[in-house]
Amino acid sequence: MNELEKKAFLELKTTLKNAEKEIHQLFLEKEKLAVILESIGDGIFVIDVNLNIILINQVALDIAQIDKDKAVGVFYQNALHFEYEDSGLLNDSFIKNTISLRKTQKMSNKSVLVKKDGTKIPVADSSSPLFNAGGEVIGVVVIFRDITEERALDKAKSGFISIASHQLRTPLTAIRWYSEMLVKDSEKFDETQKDFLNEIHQGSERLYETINLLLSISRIESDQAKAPAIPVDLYELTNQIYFEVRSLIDEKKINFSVTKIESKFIVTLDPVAFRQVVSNLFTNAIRYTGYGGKIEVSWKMNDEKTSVIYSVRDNGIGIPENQKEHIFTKFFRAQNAIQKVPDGSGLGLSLVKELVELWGGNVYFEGMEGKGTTFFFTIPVNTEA
Amino acid sequence: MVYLNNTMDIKGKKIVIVEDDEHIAKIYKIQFDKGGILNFIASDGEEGLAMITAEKPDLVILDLMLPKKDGFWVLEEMKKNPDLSKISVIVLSNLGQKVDKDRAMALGAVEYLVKVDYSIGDIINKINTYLVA
Repeated sequence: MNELEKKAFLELKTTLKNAEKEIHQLFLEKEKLAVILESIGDGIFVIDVNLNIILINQVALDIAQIDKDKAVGVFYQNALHFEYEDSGLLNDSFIKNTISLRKTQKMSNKSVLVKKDGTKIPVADSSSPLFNAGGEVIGVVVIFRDITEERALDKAKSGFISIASHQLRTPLTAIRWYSEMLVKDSEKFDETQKDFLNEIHQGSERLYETINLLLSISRIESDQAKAPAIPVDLYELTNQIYFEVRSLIDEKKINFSVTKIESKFIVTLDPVAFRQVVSNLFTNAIRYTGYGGKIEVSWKMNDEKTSVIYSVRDNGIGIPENQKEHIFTKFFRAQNAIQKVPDGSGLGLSLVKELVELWGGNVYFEGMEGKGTTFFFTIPVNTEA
Repeated sequence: MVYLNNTMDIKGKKIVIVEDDEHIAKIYKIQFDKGGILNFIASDGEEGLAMITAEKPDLVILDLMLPKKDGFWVLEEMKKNPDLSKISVIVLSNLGQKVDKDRAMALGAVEYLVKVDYSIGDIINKINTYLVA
């Protein structure tokens, strides 16, 4: 062997050694990946762009009751068949959209997985695109889980709230009606007695509001609240709600304005739900705005022309920075809100959120403590006139 | 305190009240007694139907969640019986869901009121309009 050959040989040896190392490294990575994949509690599978399964974990196989050799290399719908719960139609849109939109997609809330034996189980979760170095989509990772127990728990919870609320309503009816009869007769009472009577009456009114809010929320959570969407005139509906709360506005001499937008769009939604949302936002704005304050209501189409953004702006007490994240939580009330109005239920905004999300919109706010708050909610529009 | 007009039109009219909550039944009784209206109170569905059959009242006030047989059962039985099917029934319940309302109206109730949503004054006024008619 001459020097040149020797050098070439050594280089080759090094290359081989490195390759061996890399292969070993790759093997370790693969093992690691397999361990990770198997230790995740959710079902996971990966498909290529031809929609064939290239990887699947045991949890996914168990949920769907299939064997690994019947899944890997198979068109995914033949192994894992997702349907819309209501219609029983194939649900493949979340995977298709993942590929075409190149973005993570959530499965529809109402998805079921059809097991090998034909039984259907409710599932939830999402799918995400896999990219190669060139940024092309080369596959989809789908993560899902069996939500049978979550559903049962939700149902039990809502059933409990519904029965409890009904059982609360009956004695409350008695309190309201007896105190009403006494109030009508109150000229017989002295001032202290009148005051006590008034307290009882106000307490029962507060309880009435709280129970109704609880019932509304439980109905949404148990899917009993969805009513058909119809075309509505936002200006007219807004005005009707304004008239319902007008006495409160006048009492505090609040400057209330509604900006009418010449609309070139048709909004379709459940007017009862809209009324509850706007009425809650108006009542909050009035409550937490001082004497002589200002409330401005307006709406506009968003830039993408996909949603109407409705806003209610006040110059009231605002929401403290450190409490902003909790504002939609049930029973939560911001510290300054409790000081201003001690007896709110903390349910209004959580109802607003649930209702807006029910029609496919979202709700958010901006503002600073002491500077007022603007609440926004969106209404998706699909018809352009 | 009393909301009923004590007029000749309604005096001597007959009402059967089917209500299992005695405190609420007592309010109805106070109101109807003062208005000179004959009233009979049953506290479950079976007793209610027996009373309606025996008394043939001008009007029935019916709760829905009742012991033994519920208010829907009473409506069904009344609908089946030609002697009772013409009697007006006002449902006064605390079940506020649309399905319950639709079901009661389909079974022939003339009115469906959620008790807790109304003042007793409004309830009595409503009843009054059916007694005068």
